[in-house]
Amino acid sequence: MKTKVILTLISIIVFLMSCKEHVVTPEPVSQEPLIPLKLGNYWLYQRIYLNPDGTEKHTTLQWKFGFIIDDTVTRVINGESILNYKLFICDTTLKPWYNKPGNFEGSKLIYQNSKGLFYTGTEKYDTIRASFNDLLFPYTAIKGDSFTAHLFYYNISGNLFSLPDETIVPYLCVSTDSLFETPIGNFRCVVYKSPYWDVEPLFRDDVYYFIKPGLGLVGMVTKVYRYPTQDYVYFDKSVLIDYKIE
Amino acid sequence: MKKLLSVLIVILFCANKIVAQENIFVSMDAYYHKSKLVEEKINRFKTTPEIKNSEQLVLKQALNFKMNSKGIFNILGQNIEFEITKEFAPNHMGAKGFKADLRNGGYALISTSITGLHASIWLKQYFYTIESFGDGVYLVSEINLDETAINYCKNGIEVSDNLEKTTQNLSFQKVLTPAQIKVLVGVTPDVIYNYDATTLVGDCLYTTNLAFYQSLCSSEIDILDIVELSYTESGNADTDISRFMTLNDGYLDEIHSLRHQYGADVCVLLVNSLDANGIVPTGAIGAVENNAFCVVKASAAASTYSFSHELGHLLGG
Repeated sequence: MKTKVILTLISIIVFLMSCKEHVVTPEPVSQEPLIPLKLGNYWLYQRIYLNPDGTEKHTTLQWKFGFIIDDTVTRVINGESILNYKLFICDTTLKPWYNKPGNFEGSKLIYQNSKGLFYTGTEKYDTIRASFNDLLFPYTAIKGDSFTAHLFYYNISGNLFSLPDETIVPYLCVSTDSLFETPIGNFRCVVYKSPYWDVEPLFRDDVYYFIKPGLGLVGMVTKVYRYPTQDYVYFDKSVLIDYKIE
Repeated sequence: MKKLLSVLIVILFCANKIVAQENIFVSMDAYYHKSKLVEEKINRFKTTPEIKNSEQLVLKQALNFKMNSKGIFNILGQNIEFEITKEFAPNHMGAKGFKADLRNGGYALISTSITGLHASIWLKQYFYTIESFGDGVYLVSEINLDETAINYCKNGIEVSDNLEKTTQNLSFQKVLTPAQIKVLVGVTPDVIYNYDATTLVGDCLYTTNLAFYQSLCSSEIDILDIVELSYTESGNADTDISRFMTLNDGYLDEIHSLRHQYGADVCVLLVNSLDANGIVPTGAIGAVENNAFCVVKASAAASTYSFSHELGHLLGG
């Protein structure tokens, strides 16, 4: 009788184990450069609309965009010559819209050093439009760190509301080890939050940047805080679907 | 010296009182010149059922709002004192936004731009709007919130009886459905030449649904497809909307069969050149099947919410 009970228990355990889903164990965050910057590197994303609770919504058409480093420029910043990378918006063809003046916004200029990722301005058709030197994403990041910097991309298709380059917004590091799921894998990320549009007493739009050190931006999530109802709801997310880094 | 100080204090006190008591508006005299277009626009707007009372005013002087500015909305026989307590996105595309607290409770949201002053005022149970109509004329309206609530979209099926009747026998979904509004977007060859149409329309979807979210409206739109239409743009809003909407006039007639094919509630034509940011047909505020069309200028479609704005008209706003 005792043997039968033991065998039954073992069978149940084996049966339950066989039902267990494959557990994804993402690699821990390592101390690499936050975003690998090299000419030709790109990151493509799919935009997914979300219900208020964060579940995915169906949309008939799918939108896929991305960022590509398509050029560089050397700029003198604080007396030092620094190679800046030009980060352009692109679609799945990986070409910035040089020939589509209605969409073409030019690029954002970025570089990186041991302190983190710096955002130094914008340019269009090789003409500098705005110039500054902001530490945009400090790294190594410390949860709770808050700072202000110029508005970076908050959307994969660009500056939807034509906000001026000079717009300064707050940033906050809200996590240093959050799991973000994408169709090409799950990544542990540093997460920066930026409330980029606050019109209290109506609403506030927040964007969360999920950055996997060594790989780059793997996703963005937009949430809306609605002051009248005091609810904080999901709106959309952009998830990494393809990339090339060197 | 003491006298000088006293005089200075008195001057400062008076200056503060003057600012605090500054009226925003003055009455319009009988000879004030308004264009026919502005007159027609005001008359059309005044007939909206939500408007309880209204009056036309002009600004007393050029406004220069900033933090802690004080003033008085002298509107509809009331003097509503306010103080600016918050600035929103200063100088965004030449526009400035402010929140003002009202002395007697409530608040106002104010925006100023090259088109003038716009404000929404919540004072206890009353709600007022101030809108610039051009030629320096402002229409101040008291809104009947009970009437507005009838058309408020919720998860239920709270649409007005009137609109229910006008749409109940159609094969299409109601334009005022509280659920998903299906939109078919047509683009001209000029738009294709100047824009990546997929991106542009994607941005329109994004800004529209985000605006619905921000406004606590549970409706949303879905873009069924983007179709290139063979059409030489006229550049004139009235001409383009008429040609887009009218069946069998020899212009853009395929949109009607495409609409049936896709089962679209609303059709939008994006154009590259237009003498307005967008237009809906006359009488299409709260559209029905045969007039749920609009034309929008591509450059204004997403960045200045014109796509959302024109859809808002069709939905009854």
